[in-house]
Amino acid sequence: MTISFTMINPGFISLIVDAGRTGMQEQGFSGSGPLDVEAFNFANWLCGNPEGNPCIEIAGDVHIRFEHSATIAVCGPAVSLAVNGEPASELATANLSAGDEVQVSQQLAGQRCYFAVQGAWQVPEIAGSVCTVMREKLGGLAGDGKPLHAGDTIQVVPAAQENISRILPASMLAPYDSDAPVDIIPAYQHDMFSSRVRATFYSSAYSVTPQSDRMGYRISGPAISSGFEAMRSEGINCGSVQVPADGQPIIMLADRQTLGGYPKIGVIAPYDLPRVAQSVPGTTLTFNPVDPENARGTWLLRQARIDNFFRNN
Amino acid sequence: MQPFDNVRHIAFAGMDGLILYFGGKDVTQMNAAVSAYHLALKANPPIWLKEAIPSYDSLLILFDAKITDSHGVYHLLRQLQPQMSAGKSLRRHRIPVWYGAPEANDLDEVASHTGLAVSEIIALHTATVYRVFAVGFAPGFAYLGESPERLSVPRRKTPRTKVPAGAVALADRQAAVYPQMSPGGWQLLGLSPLTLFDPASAQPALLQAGDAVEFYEIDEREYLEQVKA
Repeated sequence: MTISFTMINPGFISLIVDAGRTGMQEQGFSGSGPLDVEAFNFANWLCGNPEGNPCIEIAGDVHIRFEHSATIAVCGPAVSLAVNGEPASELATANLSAGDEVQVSQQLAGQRCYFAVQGAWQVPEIAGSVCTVMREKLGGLAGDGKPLHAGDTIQVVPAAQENISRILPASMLAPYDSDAPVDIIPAYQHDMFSSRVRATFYSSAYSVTPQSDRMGYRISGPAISSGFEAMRSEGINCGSVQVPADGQPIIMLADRQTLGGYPKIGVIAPYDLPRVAQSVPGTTLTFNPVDPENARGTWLLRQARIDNFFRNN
Repeated sequence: MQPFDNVRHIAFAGMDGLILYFGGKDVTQMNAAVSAYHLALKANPPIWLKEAIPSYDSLLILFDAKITDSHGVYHLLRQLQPQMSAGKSLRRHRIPVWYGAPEANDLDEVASHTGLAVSEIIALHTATVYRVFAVGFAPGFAYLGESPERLSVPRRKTPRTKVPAGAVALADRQAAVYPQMSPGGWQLLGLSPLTLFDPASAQPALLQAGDAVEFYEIDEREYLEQVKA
């Protein structure tokens, strides 16, 4: 049997996402996946789902009705959950009965949270993933890249597991409110930017602009022009900071195109990407260069802490 | 990290990435070296390999940082024994084109830019063996090069909002076939009935970096027959 739930109000935008398309970038598919991988993983863990299970990435306030009993969870910065109008604890598993209605809302417009439902989602896999990429017209409920609309119903085959109850301590979440500099690994064309330009970049504040989406976040601040124009297109890693001719950097994120011809000054360390992705327009970011192996050490420690928590809870 | 063999430069591409830049006398030779390393890496993919993205003169390698670090990746790359056969392509494709199909016909504009007659444009385009330098921009979009200098055309001043799937296009000394309907600013020569992109297939993109492509002319009747088939 399957259970189902229906989007009554999909909020600003609701997208079905999973861990993304792996190994397909050489064929031109965007890497896709959640903008905030950690919150996505936590939402699935709260539901007892396997890693990479589909979730809905929500921006805005969302209203969902459950036709059957189900186990759900929501995770993200400053998110609140209500079941049938009664506040429920966020960062905790919620077990619903048939007919229950759920509302998810977020304090800050522009942030994203992840809505997990226990079980195997019946959504079409394309190129190894159900991830919605609107620009590529791929993935999502009908496989055509459309975001969820009011009235859309998702079918899920529930897991054999009994009702579970898990709680995620807020201390496990990424430090969303930190104003510490964002760690960036000098990379790609870093050495071709002049030392003066690099010094400007590392000593200036950049503001997240409203021209920010799942492809990339534009930030504005002192221009860091590279002075070179013609460059052959090359592969772009997630978190790459590319600098077009106007000197205003763009942080490339989940739905970035696979190839690009703008010079890149560095790549943001993965442990700081959730915090960057959850920065709303107007947020100020500063950057701190770190050696790739030091960044890897920091990342491995954070992963070990998360893995350890998952193992023991 | 020290360059080696055809690799002229190596740069970090983040905590979990290295990008290799290849040398050569021209982009075709550089791209042949890219393909050779890409192929050698994929022939025996290490467990840490997440992505290997080839482009004109570069190969981006993304790895699982839980399993290895940049030193481990570099060590393996140095030990690769790519089969270098200068400029040799991986697979050969022959792509039919209905030149001047009404939905994709900028032949007059190409003629005025190049000073060539339409028949000369078609003759040059079908006589060229193109190489797939890179696949990107959109799923299955292959960048083909290089057109003869005489066939070099600028992009359209105003890009089209809708270029039909199968449109065969030119820009500068590059060529392409649009795998899906999309916006685009290249000059269009005609339509191909071939399916270049099938998202449901295990290998959705027909053209892969390193492949060779030749075009041949068909007429409207053959186009319609092949579209139906």
